[in-house]
Amino acid sequence: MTVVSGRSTAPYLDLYARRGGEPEVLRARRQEAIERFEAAGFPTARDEEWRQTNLGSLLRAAPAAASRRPLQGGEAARFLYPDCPRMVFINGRYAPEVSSPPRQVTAVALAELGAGGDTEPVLEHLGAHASGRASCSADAGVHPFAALNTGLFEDGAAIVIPDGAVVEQPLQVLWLNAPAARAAESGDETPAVEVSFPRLLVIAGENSQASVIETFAAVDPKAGGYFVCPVSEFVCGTGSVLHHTRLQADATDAFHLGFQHAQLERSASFDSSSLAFGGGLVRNDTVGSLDGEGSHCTLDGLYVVAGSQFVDNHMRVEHRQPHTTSHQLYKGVLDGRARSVFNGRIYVHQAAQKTDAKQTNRNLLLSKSALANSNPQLEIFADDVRCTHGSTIGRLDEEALFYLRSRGIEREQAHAMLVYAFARELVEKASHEPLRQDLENRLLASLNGGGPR
Amino acid sequence: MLRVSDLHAKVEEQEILKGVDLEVNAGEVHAVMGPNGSGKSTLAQVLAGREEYDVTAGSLELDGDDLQEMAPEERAHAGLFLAFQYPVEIPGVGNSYFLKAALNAIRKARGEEELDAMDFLQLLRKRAELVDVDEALLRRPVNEGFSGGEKKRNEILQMAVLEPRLAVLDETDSGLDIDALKTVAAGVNALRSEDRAFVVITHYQRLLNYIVPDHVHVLLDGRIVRSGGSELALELEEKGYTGLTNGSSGG
Repeated sequence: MTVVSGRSTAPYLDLYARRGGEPEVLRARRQEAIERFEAAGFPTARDEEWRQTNLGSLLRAAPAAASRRPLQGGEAARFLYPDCPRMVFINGRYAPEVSSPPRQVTAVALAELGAGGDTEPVLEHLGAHASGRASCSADAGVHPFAALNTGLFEDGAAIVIPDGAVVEQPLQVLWLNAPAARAAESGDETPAVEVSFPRLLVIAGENSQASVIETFAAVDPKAGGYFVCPVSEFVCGTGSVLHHTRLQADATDAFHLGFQHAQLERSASFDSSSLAFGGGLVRNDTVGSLDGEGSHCTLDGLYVVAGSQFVDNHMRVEHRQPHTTSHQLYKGVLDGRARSVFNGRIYVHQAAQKTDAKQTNRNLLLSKSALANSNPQLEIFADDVRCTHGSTIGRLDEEALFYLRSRGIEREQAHAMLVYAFARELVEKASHEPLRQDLENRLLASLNGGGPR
Repeated sequence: MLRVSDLHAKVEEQEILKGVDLEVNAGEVHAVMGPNGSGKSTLAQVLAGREEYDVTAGSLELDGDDLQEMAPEERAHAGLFLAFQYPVEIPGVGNSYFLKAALNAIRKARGEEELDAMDFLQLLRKRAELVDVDEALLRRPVNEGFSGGEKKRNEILQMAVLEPRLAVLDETDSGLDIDALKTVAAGVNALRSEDRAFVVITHYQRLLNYIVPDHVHVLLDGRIVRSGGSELALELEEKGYTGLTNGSSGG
């Protein structure tokens, strides 16, 4: 058994060396990505962008390729919305038997890329934006986990929405994890984690309109630790309107380090909601790149965490052209010893006059040991802009709690009502009714299941 | 119904109530009057079970049950209601949703069947009419952005829906213009009955023109210094609180 040193990339390079292969058309960019990952290495506490994210527990674990297993009947059903076309993945691999890809659009499993059909748009964009090269500002550097994903993803989904198409039903992409049960490895100091690398590329054609729902979940929420390292890229063509919901309901001892990137052409609109309930060590890096004049992005989020969960949202919005607008609203509910980081950077380039950027982060602490960090960062190089930001960290209003109780409402219910009231706008934003209902149920369940207060 | 004996209470180490005695029977309306700082609101909050207020001596009983043993919600289940002097704004919680949750929590605690949405809505509409509350207020978040008068009316609406046995009104008249005052009083009067009692806490005699009390008590410096019939309120109006300090305390 090899002893793994703290920050070594070796076990991940080993995964690369032993990978199962890939479509010919992806080989070169995969090689390039893994080289970039190797050169960058894992971030340390000295890295400004990572100093509040302790990766120790992840890097002490020995990574293993996610096991291959078929989906058993009904395992996916409780995560699926009945009327939505869907692509289902288990441990990072496509499960066609439970998938029903949408008809109106081109949906390709990435492992099949090059096996027929038009691969041009996919090849043009895959990895071009999320690599830390093409679209991010020079100082953004390489995102090591995005590079790792590009080097190691086994499969994924590419969805191409044709120009002018209006897709009524949301498309659901379900990323399920089910690590193989392991016998207790007593005395083993490097616990093993199965790693999967979900990969999504959505290309919204000119003046198209669509909604995509991504769901990250565990078949068995108690099935032990695993590491999910997803990358999602959104390319929003001129005048397109793309809605995105990201529901993260992984097992509470899972590692989840994700990267998502939206690139917007002229007058495009990207509206994303990220709702995080699961995971033990969670980090999401989100980049909105407003590359076209008059484009708009909304990046909203909610995190509801308890116990020893850690969730870190690193946001970066790039205003590159005039008349671009961005809205961010992130809310957090923290109980137990949970900790959160919200790091919101808005970068207004010199050309981006008439930028309108708004960022809000609100946190509700339900216990004395919970801790929220909020760091807004504005970098403005244009002179005619409007940028506002605000962050709050507060506790439950005791006056309101007493008021509700004085009317006969039990303490626990009054508590849940107030927390729900705090978070509801992010749940009720969902326009697809089954999704909204699911989010509401998850929010209520997480409130009732909360630890001691 | 309510028996308060030698009640002492303090807030943040400061003694506010210094031995209050008060007995209220079913069907009665009691007015508790007193200047600012006399302990009126403390009495109201202690009755409702506010945890920041420490009862250091004495007893509080509702129908023979020790209120001090009961959480705020249990007091509500037992039929106690406090109309707040400063109703709390609760963004994100709908007014009618809140009232339904409250009514059903009380019904459940009493072993009664909970009301479904339709039955509740019917009841709510009737009560809103009784206390002249605009239906638009029912759809808004609890007290959020309500005017002073709307907040007070909303308290009376809650009382009308929850039908308490003992209602404590803490300066419900403060900040009301005369029309709102009449509306609030009419709502209270409509709910007066033989098996229900009211404790009306007020600074001014004005409200008592519209809600005529059976008993009036004067609270000064944490003690009830005089009690009498409704004529005592008029005497107070004439002499002011300072004119009473030489008066004797009575029954």
